[in-house]
Amino acid sequence: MNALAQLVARRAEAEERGVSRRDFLKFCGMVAVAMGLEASMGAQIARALEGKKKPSVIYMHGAECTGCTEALLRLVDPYFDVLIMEVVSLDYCETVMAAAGHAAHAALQKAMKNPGGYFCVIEGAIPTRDGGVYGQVGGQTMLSLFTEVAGKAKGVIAMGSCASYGGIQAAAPNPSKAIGVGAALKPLGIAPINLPGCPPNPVNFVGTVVHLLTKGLPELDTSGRPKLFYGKTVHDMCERRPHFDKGEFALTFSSQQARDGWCLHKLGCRGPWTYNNCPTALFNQTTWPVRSGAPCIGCSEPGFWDQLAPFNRDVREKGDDA
Amino acid sequence: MHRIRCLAAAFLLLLLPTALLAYEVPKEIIIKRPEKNQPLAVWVAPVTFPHGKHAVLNSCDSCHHEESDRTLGQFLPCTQCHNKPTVTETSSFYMAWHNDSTHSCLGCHRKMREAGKMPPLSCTRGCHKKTEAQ
Ligand code: SF4
Ligand code: SF4
Repeated sequence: MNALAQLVARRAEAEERGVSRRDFLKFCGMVAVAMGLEASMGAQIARALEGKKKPSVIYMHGAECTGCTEALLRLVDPYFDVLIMEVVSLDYCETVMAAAGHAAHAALQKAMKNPGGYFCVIEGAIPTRDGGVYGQVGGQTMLSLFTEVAGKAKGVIAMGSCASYGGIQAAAPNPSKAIGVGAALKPLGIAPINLPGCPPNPVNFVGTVVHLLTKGLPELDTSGRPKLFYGKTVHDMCERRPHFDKGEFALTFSSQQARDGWCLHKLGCRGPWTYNNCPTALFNQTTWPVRSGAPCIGCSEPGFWDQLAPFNRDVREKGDDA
Repeated sequence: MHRIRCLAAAFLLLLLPTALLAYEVPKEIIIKRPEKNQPLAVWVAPVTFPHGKHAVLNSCDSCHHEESDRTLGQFLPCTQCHNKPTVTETSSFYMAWHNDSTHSCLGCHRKMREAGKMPPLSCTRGCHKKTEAQ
């Protein structure tokens, strides 16, 4: 390589690092806001994160659709690569790792031997019927694999509604008898941090990870969710709320009222008792369901799916047909 | 001294049935917003709460969470403490009924739904009945 080419390459490398550093700082600021702190606290978070050895994370997939990982991949502040390279060290994740088959399994075994320990993230519910044979990875049931991996972890995060409470995998008739991580691993004394949502906002994941690294376990509500992100109802932060308060309810999806931002309560909105931060965190920095005209279906609640369906109509009461 | 104490205890024991009979369990309570509070939603009217029905199904302290055996029969109305005009503080009037905790209407009905029961949950079909066409 001649001198000029070397110089250009080095500049490009420095620039790249510079951008990633900016990204990192921006990300810390954004996490600070999501955690209900001043944006200026971002620098403090950055220092706390930089001072530490990056914790190892093992990300397991159970009975799921990979939607939560997809949501995570769409992170912008920070980009996913900044998250998995600079904040944590993602040592095993079937969706994004290059290895497959035996090589992947070997990577898992290696990651579990990390002397510094590791955090275990589980996405998806755990099938338990007939000893869990309806969900297997490499011939081992998810139930036994997750018991092993989560059992040795420093902390467990249940990513998404399926991992938290069973979600759609546990909806009737639930042929594989899928249950949430907390319920499945309770005999081991494992109480995961639940990050429900279908999918959860990736900001809630990042915020929880940062909280774990900088301040320890976040305060959880009675359903195991961090109050930082799940402390208020969707309804209490909803931009259609002034219409609710005035009694202005849209009666059809195609009505002018629905377009004018009237409340979607009579079209089946579950926002009044759904704890999540969608209205403030937004998805893909753009919008959230109710803003786009779709009622909240209560995806972050423990009873989701069965107790909240049928969707897009008023809440079922005693005597109503399902 | 010991005898006096025993006698006093026996006397109190005799009084117990009368005490139990003496306190009233209201059948219905109309829950009204404290006068100084601005209404949050203009269409929400005072709520008629079937207190008797809930008292049969639940122990008193499931809702009257500040009470103990000592205060039996002298329960305070919720609004004694929950009367602030905000929507976020637990001491607010709104949060007495819409809190995540099972001491609160909404929190308890949510938990019951999770357990597969069907208590009312919809704002306008449950407590704040609103039937007129928009
Ligand atoms: S649209 Fe839903 S969350 Fe928003 S105000 Fe209406 S009922 Fe509440
Ligand atoms: S608006 Fe409701 S259903 Fe939609 S993502 Fe948020 S909590 Fe889930």
